[in-house]
Amino acid sequence: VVNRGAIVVLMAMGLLAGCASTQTGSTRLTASDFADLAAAVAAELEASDAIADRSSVDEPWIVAMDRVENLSGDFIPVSEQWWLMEKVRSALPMRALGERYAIRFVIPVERLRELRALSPELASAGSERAPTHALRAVIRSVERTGGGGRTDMYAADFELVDLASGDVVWSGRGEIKRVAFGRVWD
Amino acid sequence: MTRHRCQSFFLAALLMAVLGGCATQSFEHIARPTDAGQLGHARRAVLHEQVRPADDPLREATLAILTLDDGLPEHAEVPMQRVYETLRTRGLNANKQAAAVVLNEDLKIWKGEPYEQALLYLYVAMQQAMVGAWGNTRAASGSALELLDEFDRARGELREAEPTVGGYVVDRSDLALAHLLAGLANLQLGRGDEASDHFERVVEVRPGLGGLVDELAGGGYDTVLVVEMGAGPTIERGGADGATEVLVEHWPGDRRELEVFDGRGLVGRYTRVLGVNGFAASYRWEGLAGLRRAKSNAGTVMAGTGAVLLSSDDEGARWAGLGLLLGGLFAKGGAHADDRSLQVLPERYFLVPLNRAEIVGPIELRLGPGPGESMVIPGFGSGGSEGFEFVLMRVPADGLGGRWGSPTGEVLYANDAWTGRVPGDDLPWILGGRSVMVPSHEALARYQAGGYLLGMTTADLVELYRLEGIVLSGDERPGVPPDAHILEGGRSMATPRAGTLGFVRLFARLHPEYRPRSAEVARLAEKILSGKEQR
Repeated sequence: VVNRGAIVVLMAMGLLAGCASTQTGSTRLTASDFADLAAAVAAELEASDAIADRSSVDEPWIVAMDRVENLSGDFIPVSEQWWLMEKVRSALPMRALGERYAIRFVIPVERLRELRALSPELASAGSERAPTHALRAVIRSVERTGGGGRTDMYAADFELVDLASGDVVWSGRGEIKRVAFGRVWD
Repeated sequence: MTRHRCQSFFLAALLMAVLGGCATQSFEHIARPTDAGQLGHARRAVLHEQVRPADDPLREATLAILTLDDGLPEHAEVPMQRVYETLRTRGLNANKQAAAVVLNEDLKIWKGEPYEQALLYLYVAMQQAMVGAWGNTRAASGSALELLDEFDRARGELREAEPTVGGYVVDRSDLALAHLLAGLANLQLGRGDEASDHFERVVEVRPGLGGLVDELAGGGYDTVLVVEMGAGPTIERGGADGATEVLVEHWPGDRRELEVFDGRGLVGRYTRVLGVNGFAASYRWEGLAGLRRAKSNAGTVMAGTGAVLLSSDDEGARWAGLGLLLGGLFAKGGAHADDRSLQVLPERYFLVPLNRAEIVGPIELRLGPGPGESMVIPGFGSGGSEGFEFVLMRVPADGLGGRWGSPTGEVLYANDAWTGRVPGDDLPWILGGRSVMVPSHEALARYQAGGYLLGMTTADLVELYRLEGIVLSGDERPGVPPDAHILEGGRSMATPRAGTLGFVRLFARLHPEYRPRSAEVARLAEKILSGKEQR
């Protein structure tokens, strides 16, 4: 009797577990998506003519970054909007850029404001920052639902802009596709 | 009665007791403090409540709304992110469907009914608007519209949305609040065309909001005040074995206009943007309702048959009867509806565009003469901040009279969200004064200008608060909303934004004097009181 009972219980458990579906997930961007995107864009920027054509004796480029602008259908926390840009910068060989191509990166103006607000002694911090260029990015997305799921195609467009002339001296793009299945309300 | 029969009835009674004991509603106890406007106490209760893993999303959502409505958008950010993650995960309960059918429905991870999900997306959108992240406001309000469109398509209400020439898609859902938030966000992002498309959709589905849309689209305001009023509906169990989900209204739904006054008189009248009672009735997913009723009916038949067989003289029939009875009771016990619902939603929302520079004195919101139908907001627009502001004001559903929480209509405690001065603000509240400014260089300068705490450094001032066990911003647990404020007996100094319920409750009503916990602070307060610490 005990054995039969145990079998019934195990069968019930198996039945319940067997109904487990893999149709779960989200089309949200993940940290690894950001890391892959940043690495690809940094490599593209490093290999670009805009940088390759420069030399150490050229007029220095002082590049300020802003956080990525989110025009996608996904909520991207502000900290992650900064993180993506920081990942792009950290993936670049900063010393080589400075020594061979006279390109330097400076802290973003929002961070500078926060720094200055920390204490009266820091009120003039970064006064010689004077950026000549800005590295900006926008993330957009296209969504499609149907067939029991949703597909999001994300595109991140990066631009390096000459602040004096307004010229776009470099642009790059990274794309990510995310698919998830299942009912969104369940 | 034979020994066998006694055992059978004992087992049946035990099973019924166990199954009956499972029926508890999460966070039911916070409805009262929430309706009374005591969001700090409600938040504290939720923070300390132990919940099942399946109820974690409900806890996060409750905390996120309580924290945001209390005027602490930065502290609401992490819970809001978790809520958003849950909402965006498809098929979250796909592998729990069988267990929900066989056992009971509340084994599923809580995700809320579609109306709750849409409103949670809008809270994410509003939280992001309060911190100025308009791209995320646009995304989250869009998510609410997409959810409703997808849900409507699944139940056969087709509303196809096609991309516009601008490359974006304006969903066809008629949730005006989501379109208005999306429109506002797009205006802030400089995307006028997309903003216009959302505003046009609002006028199309709710012509009565045309005046508000004109005001929002026309500019000339630097603040949008979202007013939340009343207590929203909740889900309860009804019918045989509680197998029916019943939507219970706690505040009557009506279409009265909200009147806004300041020192100049009537500033404007505003139409309700969303009534939650009606919205909730339209957007519920009763996917397992039929199965629950079938389980309940089958359980009744099985238990009845089993009870009859238990009185048989045949032992085999008695065993079969016991099996049927237990099976029937089990089926009935698992037939109850999932009654977990957000207990902290308001019944209605209004949007009020304002120009801070034009406001004279306190603002008064007035829907009618009843409890929870009016509110006075002192200190609005004098927080010293520049640029566009998005403010969420929750009017307590049980708030008595227009001057709820603010009998004088004035700010009574100096704080970091307001630049004005009050008598006694040259001394911290923990030392007998009227300042609850976070200990800082500026706060100490004010105290020393008043002749107090001379010779003290900012670090010394911070240490006084630490000695009292007061949690300062650097000591808060990351991602966890703060405890109740020190003014209401908690240990937090998180400062609510001006114009919010938290600001009014904390800084515009008198609180009992502070009682120091540490000997050092008690001695210093005593010295100041006796005049030995002189200016």
